[in-house]
Amino acid sequence: MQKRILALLMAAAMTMSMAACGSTEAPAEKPAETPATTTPAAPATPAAPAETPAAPAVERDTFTMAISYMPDNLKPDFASDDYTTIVRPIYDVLFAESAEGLEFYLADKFEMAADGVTYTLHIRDDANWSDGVPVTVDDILFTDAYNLAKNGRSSYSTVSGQPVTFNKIDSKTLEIVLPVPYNYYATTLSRMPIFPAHAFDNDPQKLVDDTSYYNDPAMVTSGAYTVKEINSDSIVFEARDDYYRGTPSVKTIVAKVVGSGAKEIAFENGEIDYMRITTVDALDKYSAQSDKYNIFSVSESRLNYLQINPYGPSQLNDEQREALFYAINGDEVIMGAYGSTELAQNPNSLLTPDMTLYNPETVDYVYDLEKAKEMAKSSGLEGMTLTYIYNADRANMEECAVVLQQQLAQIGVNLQIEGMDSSSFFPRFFAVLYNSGQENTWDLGTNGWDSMRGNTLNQSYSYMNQAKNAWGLTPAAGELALAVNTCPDLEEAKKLADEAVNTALAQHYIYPLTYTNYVMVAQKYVDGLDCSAIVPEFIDWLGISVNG
Amino acid sequence: MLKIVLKKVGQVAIVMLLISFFSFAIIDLAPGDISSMYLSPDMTEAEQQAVKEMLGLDKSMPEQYLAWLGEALKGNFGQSLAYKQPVMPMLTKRLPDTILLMGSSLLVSLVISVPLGLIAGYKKNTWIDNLISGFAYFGMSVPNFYFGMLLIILFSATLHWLPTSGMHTVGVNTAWDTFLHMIMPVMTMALGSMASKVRYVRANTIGQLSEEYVLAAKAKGTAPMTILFRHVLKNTLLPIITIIGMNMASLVCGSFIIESVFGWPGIGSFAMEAIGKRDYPVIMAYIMLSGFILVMGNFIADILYSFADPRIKRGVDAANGK
Repeated sequence: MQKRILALLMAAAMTMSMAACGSTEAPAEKPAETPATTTPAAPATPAAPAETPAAPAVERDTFTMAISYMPDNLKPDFASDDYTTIVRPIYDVLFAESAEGLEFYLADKFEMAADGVTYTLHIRDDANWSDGVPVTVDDILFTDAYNLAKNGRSSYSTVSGQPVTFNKIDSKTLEIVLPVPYNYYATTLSRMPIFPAHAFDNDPQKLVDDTSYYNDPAMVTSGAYTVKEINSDSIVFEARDDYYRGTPSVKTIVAKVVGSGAKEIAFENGEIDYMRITTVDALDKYSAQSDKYNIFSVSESRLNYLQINPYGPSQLNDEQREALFYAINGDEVIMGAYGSTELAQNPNSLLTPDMTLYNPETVDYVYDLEKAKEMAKSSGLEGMTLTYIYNADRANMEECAVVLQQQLAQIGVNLQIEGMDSSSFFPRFFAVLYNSGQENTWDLGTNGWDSMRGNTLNQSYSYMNQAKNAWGLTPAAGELALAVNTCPDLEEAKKLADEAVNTALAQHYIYPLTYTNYVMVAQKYVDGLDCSAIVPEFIDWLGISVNG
Repeated sequence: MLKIVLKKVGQVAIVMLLISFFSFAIIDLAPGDISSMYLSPDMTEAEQQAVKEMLGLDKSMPEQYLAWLGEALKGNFGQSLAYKQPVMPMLTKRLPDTILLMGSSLLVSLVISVPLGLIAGYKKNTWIDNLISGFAYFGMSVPNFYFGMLLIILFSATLHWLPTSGMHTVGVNTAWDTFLHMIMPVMTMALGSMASKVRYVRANTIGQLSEEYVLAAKAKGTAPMTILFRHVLKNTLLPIITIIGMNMASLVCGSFIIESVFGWPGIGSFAMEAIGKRDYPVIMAYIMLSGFILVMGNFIADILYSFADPRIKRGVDAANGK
């Protein structure tokens, strides 16, 4: 019996060790292809943190970043921010909206004609896929057809429920004719992931049905990198030497899964090269070690706001809503929830400073506690309990909720706070729009509009031009918003935008809470993480260096 | 014996059916669904309806369940709503990594807990017993994710001995590297199950030491350690078979948390991602797979038990009139 047990244990031990040997997916015959030359990806036994960022003896060429999960494939459908970050190195967009205007990538021209509905899009002559095939108009049309085949709709070829006309001028030039003027179309197009038509024989259904192409490192890419390895817990990208915009100085990018809560330790151990920081404690900690780390900060172009639900159980009237807003101290929210204006600022508008239509002179709400108390008492708000919901997946939203709870308690309002994940939050917050039937389950909620850049009203357009009277605003705000998005003259659009924003704010349904910054800490040798102020990071890999 | 096996197989099928129904119902009751990934506020009602129909969310829960069950019985667990890929290949691709983690922690827990339990039982009520029992209570009490974080702080942040996350160092293709990555998750998972096994073995050892065959061995002058490891060990191991079967549940559930803490690329962390996205087909397949491992663990334990202890088999046969 003893011998049997011993034999069993030995066999199990052997099986385990063999499984350990066999489970490494990196090809054994290619040890020379180890991505790192000098900053080897996470050492098996990490070096002490002080040693890693020290002056490099030799050239570095590898950048290692943490990902929170291993995606099942690398299809460029930009579904979420973290997924977008993972696939940024391999897929370029046509152009991106930045605070300065359009940042061009695959395209080099996007112009609107005087009629306000005709656009000309030109793709760079040298833009090419990683297999050498040029990126053409056919790829754009293919992507649109794929969206139609997959979802039954495509926001690229439908505006206001009417079809958009695509006229292929030549292989690199596309004329787009909208049914009605619609400035937001630039934003829509800037988010279009371009698929390689030639890889699927120009048949969108093949792409819809495909289950293997985007699991294979041989997939063609349009970005600065190709896929070298897809391992069970990491992806390795390799710089292209035929990339149309130039040659990246970072030759290898390693995206590796780091466990929840271990990112900071992995960073300090030198296992990863950067991470986002969202607290003032972390900011102070790493700022104080400027000999070891670099801090980068870019505007997130995000407006977080507090919404009062017109369909909530408490049905707050205008006086009650105004009382609530008088009781909110915006500066205190920033300091209480973020701790520093380096992480977030107190906003003044429904637009962000990264938008052309933004007016720094706009005034939102003033803090006046005495007036708030007075109004709370006279309006019957005092003593009420309100349900407040927030998206716990978003940075600092919980802290904002706690600060607001404390502030509103001063006027006798009790906030019942409920945090939830994105999948639970959105059907509840957008209940009227999504027909989820949960519109009467909350009174106050915080949400955010990201990527608020460019020369349109961006997401505040959908808000003001509300479908189904979702946010309680009068139709006037929507009419003005529509006028802004259909106005071909920029100066006129600015005036209309001011009017639209002021009209919306005057109704006391929305309180602009924070403009946030995307702050990152990186190892000392990393430079250029702020070379493009577009979040999710990093859209322009040419500006990033690991020998900074 | 065949009758017993067939009866157990029937029980397994019923249990699996109940697991699937209740899991489906609980998921359906959970707030939110994956449509939030596809819907946008600017969509018309018709477009939103089309998305819901495409995702199958327009049907009632029983309709959705029956449709799912019909396909599942054919071995088709559907497509991931997030990735638009068949679910089973996505899970089976990750299963070996989870089995490696689970198997290793099971092995480690056995190798450590059996001798500790024997010694604790043999040294009953001494400081050695108290020390081992204290360790066992600690293992049972401490949440495994918390213990995992403590290990990361100690071995990665402070001592810099072990990597914090993942299964491999990119570009390093050795068993040693995998072993280093496994140490902390395996120890974390092993601790909880180790603790309960120590207690079982200890209790069995105390019981066995009062048996007459031990007295006879002592009377013959057999050395205490020989009695302990040659005679008592055999008999204390018997209940361990059942405990291992029962432990399969905690190992599967444990891997769910531990894989997330340590970034281990198994089915647990994948299921965690799926839960965040409300990717029902993946969640259901994961639950069914976990449930199957648990039920099969118990099933095999029952069968092995009757082989290991013929009295049980004889008892069943006698009950069946044989």
